[in-house]
Amino acid sequence: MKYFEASNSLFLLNEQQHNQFSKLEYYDYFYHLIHPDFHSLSFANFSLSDIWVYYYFEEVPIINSEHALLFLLRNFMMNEVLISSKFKRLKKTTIGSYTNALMAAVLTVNLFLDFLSELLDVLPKEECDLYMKFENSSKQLFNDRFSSYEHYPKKLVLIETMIIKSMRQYLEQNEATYTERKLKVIRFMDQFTITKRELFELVAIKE
Amino acid sequence: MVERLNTIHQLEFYRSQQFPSCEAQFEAFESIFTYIIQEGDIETINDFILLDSQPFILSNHNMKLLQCLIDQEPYFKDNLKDCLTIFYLVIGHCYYFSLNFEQAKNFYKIASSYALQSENYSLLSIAMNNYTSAQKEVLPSDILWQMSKLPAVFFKMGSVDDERYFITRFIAHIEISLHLNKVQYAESVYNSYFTGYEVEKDSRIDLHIRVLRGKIHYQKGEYETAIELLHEVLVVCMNLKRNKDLVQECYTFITDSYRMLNEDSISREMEQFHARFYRKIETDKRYMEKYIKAAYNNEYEQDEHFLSPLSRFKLAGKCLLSNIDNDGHTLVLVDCKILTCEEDSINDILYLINEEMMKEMKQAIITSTRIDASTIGYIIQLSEQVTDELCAKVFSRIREQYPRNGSALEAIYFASVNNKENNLTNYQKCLDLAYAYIYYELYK
Repeated sequence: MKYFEASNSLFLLNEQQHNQFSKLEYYDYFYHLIHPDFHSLSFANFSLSDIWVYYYFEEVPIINSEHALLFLLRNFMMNEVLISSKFKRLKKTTIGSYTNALMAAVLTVNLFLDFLSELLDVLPKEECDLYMKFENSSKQLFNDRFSSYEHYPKKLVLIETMIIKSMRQYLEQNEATYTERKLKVIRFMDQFTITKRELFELVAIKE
Repeated sequence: MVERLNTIHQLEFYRSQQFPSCEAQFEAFESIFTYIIQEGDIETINDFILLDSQPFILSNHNMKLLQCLIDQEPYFKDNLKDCLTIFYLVIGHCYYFSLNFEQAKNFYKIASSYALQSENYSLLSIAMNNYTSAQKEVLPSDILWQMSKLPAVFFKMGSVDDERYFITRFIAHIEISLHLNKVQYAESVYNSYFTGYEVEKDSRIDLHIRVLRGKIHYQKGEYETAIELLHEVLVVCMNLKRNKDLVQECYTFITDSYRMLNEDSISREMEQFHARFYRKIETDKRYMEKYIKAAYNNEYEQDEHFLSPLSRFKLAGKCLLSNIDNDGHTLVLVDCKILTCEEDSINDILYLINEEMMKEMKQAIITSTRIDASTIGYIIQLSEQVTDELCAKVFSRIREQYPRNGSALEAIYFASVNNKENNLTNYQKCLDLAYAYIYYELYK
């Protein structure tokens, strides 16, 4: 599926990373843990793959600037992750572990989708419906064959820009809630990794 | 408050009642279900769907339950969002236990998404456990191994103190560990969680844990102990006529253990003996699979209270096939093999076969029924040879419509057993012989 193709990533991956990325296909279960209102939407699934890259690799790869310009919402979420020291703390247990990195990525994506879900209720319905239907997640939308009609999917990009603007404002206004939700992700991941270690790794060592 | 008390009262009454049949119980379930979803108390609805649906999920009423739930899906989506995790989980169970794993996986995925969203980790654990079980054939083993740890983790995070469900989360993980040859690790996990753990003797979980112990001995090369342990479980399962999957596993590991024991020092004579033994046990295994399926998992047997076509067939068989005066009667089993990609066409083909059989043998057919997914049974008042000839005619006509190459029908197997000609004095013996014919036909 397209979510597991490294060429669709927000990052430029080397060959080894490319191969590691394509193994995500086997972990597709985690893609169904995305917020129920969004799990069939491409941008949410792509974001999960993007954020997995951040958590899985020690050195965060370089961002694909073309993709960053096209896929604004994905890029916005990724930037929020990149600049936060709280998300960075999680990398202690996620580097090199598919399941830990995916779990952290699911919770991070869901954190933003929870906010988005609240926002979509207050944004104009018609525009939200249009965005949810066509969502800006395919390079085909920017293909040259459409250039005679319109230079780029202007309407979608405008809606996306509006969503991002509202989201940025929302996060600023609700900073305490935002921080609390980040801490919640950290608490979940602490509990998750500690329980996993207690149940499986310590048993093996004890023996 | 008054309404809530009313609901509690109704539920208590429903749960304490002894129903004359599963059908009657299901009717009562449906009316309570309709009532409580109108009342809208989330906790009551969740408990009711999860717990009171169990008898139907595990019986042949699970399709009825599924239909009943699917009919209410729009209502749940609009009005009972907090019940959606359990709602989709139970739909997943309905598909899982009717062996429709693809659909089961879909609904377990949806249930997982709602479970995480509502932070209900023990439900997430159940959905994920069944989802990964249905993925066994699909995922690479090392990935499945990593994934198989998580249901136990989520279960613990859900902080539910039900040890019984907690330890079942380890069974799949240990099995996959053994599959990957992580024997020492599997044993240490086993010892940590199962040693000294009290379970009801010969319950499903007890037998499953014992099979697991046997497998660990097998992997460690302790074949005699493995045979001994697995043999005990095998006998219990055969007597209980349950746990077909465990029977199959016991057979596989017992035969493999024998093979490993004899491998180095085996004499020619022993080799021949072993080959014969192995063939026999394989035939038994296939026979068991089919036989247990036919006898105990018959989804076409709709009602226990009234005589179903299968019960009527068995009853007629018991009366007619025990009488070997005159010419006796012939029991015929017709079994079809369909291309795996075209399994849906089985009903059409069986319907056509039945129509042609009825045309060809007219009054000679006393009764007939569908015995399992791919088999129809007939009791015919003709000799074995005449029946064989007429069946051959029928099947050649079927082949005209479904040619050997280029149609969904891969093969038709059939067996005719006349009780007098074979000197068999009851229905069961005739049925056993007919099944045996079909199996030898299949594997010759």
